[in-house]
Order: sequence, then C-alpha cells, then structure tokens
Amino acid sequence: MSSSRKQILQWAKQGYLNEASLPEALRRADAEPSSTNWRQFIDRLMLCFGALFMAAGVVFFFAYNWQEMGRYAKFGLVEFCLVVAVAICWKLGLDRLSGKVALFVSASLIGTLLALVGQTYQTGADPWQLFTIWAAMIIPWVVIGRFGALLLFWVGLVNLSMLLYFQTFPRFLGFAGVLFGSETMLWTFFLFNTLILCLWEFAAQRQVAWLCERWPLRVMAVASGSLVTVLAIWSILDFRDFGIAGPICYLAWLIVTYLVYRRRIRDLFVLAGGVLSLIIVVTTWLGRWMLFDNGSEGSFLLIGLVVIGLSAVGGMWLKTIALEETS
Amino acid sequence: MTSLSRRALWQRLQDAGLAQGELPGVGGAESPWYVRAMLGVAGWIGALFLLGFVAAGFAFVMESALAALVVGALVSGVAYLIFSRNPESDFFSQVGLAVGLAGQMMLVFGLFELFEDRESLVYTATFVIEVLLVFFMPNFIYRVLASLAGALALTFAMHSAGLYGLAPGMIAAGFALVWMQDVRWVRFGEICRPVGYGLALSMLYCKNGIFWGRWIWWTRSAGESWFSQNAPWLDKGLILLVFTLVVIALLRRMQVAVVSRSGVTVLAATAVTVAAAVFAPGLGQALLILIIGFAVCNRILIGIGLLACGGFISNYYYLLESTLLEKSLLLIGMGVLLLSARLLLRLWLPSAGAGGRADA
Repeated sequence: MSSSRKQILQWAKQGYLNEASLPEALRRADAEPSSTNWRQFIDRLMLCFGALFMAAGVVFFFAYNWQEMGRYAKFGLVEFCLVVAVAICWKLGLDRLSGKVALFVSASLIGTLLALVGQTYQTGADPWQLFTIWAAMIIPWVVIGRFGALLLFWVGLVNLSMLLYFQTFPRFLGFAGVLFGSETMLWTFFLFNTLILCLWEFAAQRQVAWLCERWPLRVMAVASGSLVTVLAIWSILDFRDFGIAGPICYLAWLIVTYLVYRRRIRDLFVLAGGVLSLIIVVTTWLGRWMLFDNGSEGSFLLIGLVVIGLSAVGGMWLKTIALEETS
Repeated sequence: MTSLSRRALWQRLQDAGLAQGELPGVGGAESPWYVRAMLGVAGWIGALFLLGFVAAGFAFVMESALAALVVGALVSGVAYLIFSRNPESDFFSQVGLAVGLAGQMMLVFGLFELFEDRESLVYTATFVIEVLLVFFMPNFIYRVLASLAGALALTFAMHSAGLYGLAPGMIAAGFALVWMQDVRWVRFGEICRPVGYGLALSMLYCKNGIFWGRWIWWTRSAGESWFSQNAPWLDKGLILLVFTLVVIALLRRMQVAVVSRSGVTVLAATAVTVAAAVFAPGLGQALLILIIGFAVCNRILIGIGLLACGGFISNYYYLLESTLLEKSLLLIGMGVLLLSARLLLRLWLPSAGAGGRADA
C-alpha cells in the first residue's frame, strides 16, 4: 500500500498521471486506506492501547505505594488482574492478537506482583534479582506464546537484569570498572545478544513462523552491532587496557554480517547499520591516530573527507543492492 | 517496489482509464529510509570534522560573527551548487550534505555571536535561515535536518519571547497540513515530504512532547504573562484542535457523513481521545502522528507514532503535574474505556472486526 502510493505520486509529479485524477488513481490502486482498513486499524489501536494503558496504569498504581490501601487488598488487586489477563488469554487462544496481547499484559503483571512483594515485605533483594526472577518466571509463557514482541520483551528483561547485576557488583570476578565502564560487562552483553540473534535468525531460516518477522530481528541486530562497535571504539581509545580482542571480534562480526546479510538473508537494514558502524570505527581510529597527539587542521579535513567518501561509497553500494532487490 | 508490481500497478491504472502509454522508466530510485538515516548521521559526522578544519585552520572565522556568517553563507552556497549541478550523483550528494551542514552550523554560530544574549533574536533568525535553506537546498536529507532544526528554533524563539504554549500546536498544524495535502501539493513533494518528516521528528522532542521535552531548559523564560499562565491549556488545546480537524478532514475524505452511524462513532471516539489527552500530555501528538501515518499509508510515520506512544508512557511517569495515583487511575480508566469501546464497536459496527478470528 505504502509503495504504491509513493509510486503514483511520483508518476503524477513526473507528468505521467493527471493531477486531477490522483484521488481516483489512489483509490483504484488500494493506495489509500479503505473503510475496512480504517476499522481494522482502529480496532487494533484500541486493543493494543487499551492493554498498554491498563498494564501501565497498574504499574503506576503500585509505584505510588498507596498507604491507605492494605497489603491484602493490594495483593488481591494485582492477582485479580493477573488471573483476569490469563483467563482472557486462555479464552481467546494464542492464535488471536487479542490473546497474545492478554498474555503480554500477564507477563508484565508478574513483574508488578514481584515488585509488590519486595515493597511490602522489604525482602532486601537487589533490583537485579527481581528482574532475573521475573524473566525466569515468564519463560514458559514466552515459549507457549509464540509472540516475537514477548520474546523481545524477555530479552530486554534479561539485559536489564545483567545491567543491574553489574551495577551491584562492579568489581565482581576481578574486573575493574564501574557502571557502564567495564569491559567484561560489554563482552557479556555482546555475547548474549549476539547469541540470541544467531538462534533467532537460525529459527527464522528454518521457517519457524512466529520468529520470521524481521523487525524484532533488526532490533537484536542493532543491539549486537552497537555493542561490538562500542567494544571496538574502546579498544582504539584505550588500547593498553582493552587489548586487541575488541578489534578482532569487530572485524569478524563485520565479515560475518556481510556474508549472512548480503549473501544468505539479504537484509539491507542490517547492512546499512554495518556501514554506519564501520564509518564510526574508522573515524575513531583516524581521530585517535591523527588528532590525539599533534592534530592539525589538515587532519580534520582529511578525516572529514574520509567520512564523506566512506559514506558516499557505502550509500552507493546499499542503493545498488536495493535496486537488485527491486528489479 | 519491484518492476513486476510497478507494471501491475500501471496496468491497473490503464484499465481504469487513468494512465496512457508505456510504463514510465524507473528514474532516480529512492533509497530506503534507513540508508538515508545512515547517510544523514554520516553527513553530520563529516560536517563536524569540516567545521573543526575551519575552526583550526581559519580561527578568525569563529572569532568574528560577521566572518562566520559570511563564510557560512558561502559554504552553504557551495553546497547548493554541488546539489543542483549533480542531482543524480550519490557521491556529490553526500559531499554537498556534509559541506551544507558545516555551512549551516557556521551560520548558526555566527548568529549566536552576533546577537549574544538576545535569545529570541538568535532563534528567530535561525528559524528564518532554516526555512530559507529548506526551500532552496535541493536535497532530501538536508531538508529533513533543516526542518527539524527550524522547528526547534521556532519553539525556542517563541519560548524566549514569552509566547509559551504556541509552538507545539503550530508544529502539529504544519505537520498535519503537509501530510494531509500530499496529493494536492504533489508538485511540491520534494519539499513537503522532508519537511513532514522533520516536523514529525521535532514533535518527538518539543514541549509536552515526548522524550526530553518537558522543559526547554537552555532558554530563559520571559517572565510572567498571560501566555505563561495559560501555556499548558493553550498547548493542549491547539494540538487537540488540530487532531479534531484532521479527524473531520479524514471523514470528509472517506465521504462519511458526520451524522451517520460511522460518523457519530468516530466523533465520539475523537471526543473521548481529546478528553483523555487533555490530562495526558504528549498523547495527542503521538496519536496525531499515528493516524496521519496510517491515512497516508506511511510506515515510517506509523513507526515514529508508535515510538512517540512508548515515549508518552515513560514521560508521563515522571510528569509532576499530578500524582502517580491520579495518573494510574486515568490510565486504567482510559484502558477500560478503550477495551469496552472496542467491544461495543464490534457490536455496533460488526465489520469492525473484519479481521475475523485471527484479528491479527
């Protein structure tokens, strides 16, 4: 629908179509939403937003920690919401979007319930434990849900658990770094997200229907690519502490990405991300090499020109691949 | 779009008597949005280094407002020549983008040097320059970035001039106008489309918008005035007015009478949305982007709209206008209302659930 509209508008602009007949042309080409399309859109909007607002409302409610409300009432309320959400999911079935949305809401309510336990009984548990238990508890639902967005939510929870864990124990296992600064933390995040990406792509290639949607895979590819890019940049900027594992891994990631997403799966989005990553890493390397010690105005000009050249060549290459796909 | 589907589309238009002759050639094919985004980010990086070159090699340019403005204008002129003389060249487009952005930064730097503390003058002049650049610079990515910069400059200018609460509504109106008129203004599509994207991105940012936008903290307030006292209502009112007008325009486009069953249903839903959005800042903008994105079949806008909705929830959590309890009750109420309305809609207009059992 989207590309037809763009094409028709382009033809009209080029003079191949009469501007006066454009509304009719768009209708004939199904390049404008029909009343049925609108009804479906509004129906889904109400379903997804209704569920989102309900779930967020429950989270906000318990975050407020209303003192006038007894703890049994609080537990009763969140458990009632949980049971209702699960019952709706069971009644509607997991093949329907509404059933999947209900399962998603149930999964988010588990977190609210755990937070309420911590809030009420002051268990002394660290935040990372809450998120880890939450992620562990919803694994069965992620498996039976067969819903890409829920799997992505679970991956996000695991990442958050790891982040909070590293914040709680910044020096655990002997690495020196605090918060975001640790090499081990970056490697852990990179390996976890890349592993998930590989397994997910493998399942998609095996035609596991619910894992074939591209957008969650692209989110995972962005996560993996961003982390390895950060590893490479840190290795360049802090070579003595970081060693050469980062650049080697980065080069390997770049080659594998090219081979997989150019030759086998053909995903231009990931390739475009790879090109941007390469530009950033090359710029950092040139900057470190030319500007840190005795930078001159010529260095700025040279790096600027290299960035322009790389991005122009990268853009042309990506455009060629895009044309290949449309021809 | 593949050549096969282009041919099928052309054939369909020919069968309807709307097109004659052979299938037109492919022409200059557009790159996907993420390739353009990559080029835009790379263009910014390149521009920063070019600016560094000017600052390091020609320090006098950055020390004098006049020099910065003159050199910025000259560099922008060079970018214009690069764009206009090589419209089909991807390489020169990227060169022009980096050079043009560097020129733009020098111009803005010159304005800050020239007007110093007079913020409203700085931002107004920046807005005017960005509008001129959008109009004259024949490059899609450049226009998106200049529109974004222009919309932000307008917001800051109005804020520093004491005209609080007007800019988000004006930007929303501009956004709606540009996208809702895409058929009528098809000849100006090369300007309107990038402007539309730039305004959509600026709506993610601006006041009561979505990510960081609750405070424009680097502009000074102009003191107490009618605008400062009524800004929240003015802001929401304007956006919701735009939202309502868009819904009415869409009903007219769909040839749905306002007094029909569908018309009444849609207007009732709009009234509920407007009422909810009054208490939930940012929701109006998010829904506006989403609905217009669907109306013009634009997946990028729908994506920005969904992002805005997610941003609305996270922004709403930290909003200090009301307590978490009040916010939670509003959200739960809205959720119950939406889900009940969905059920009613399926009974009232049975084809609403035309997706059937799958409803996916």
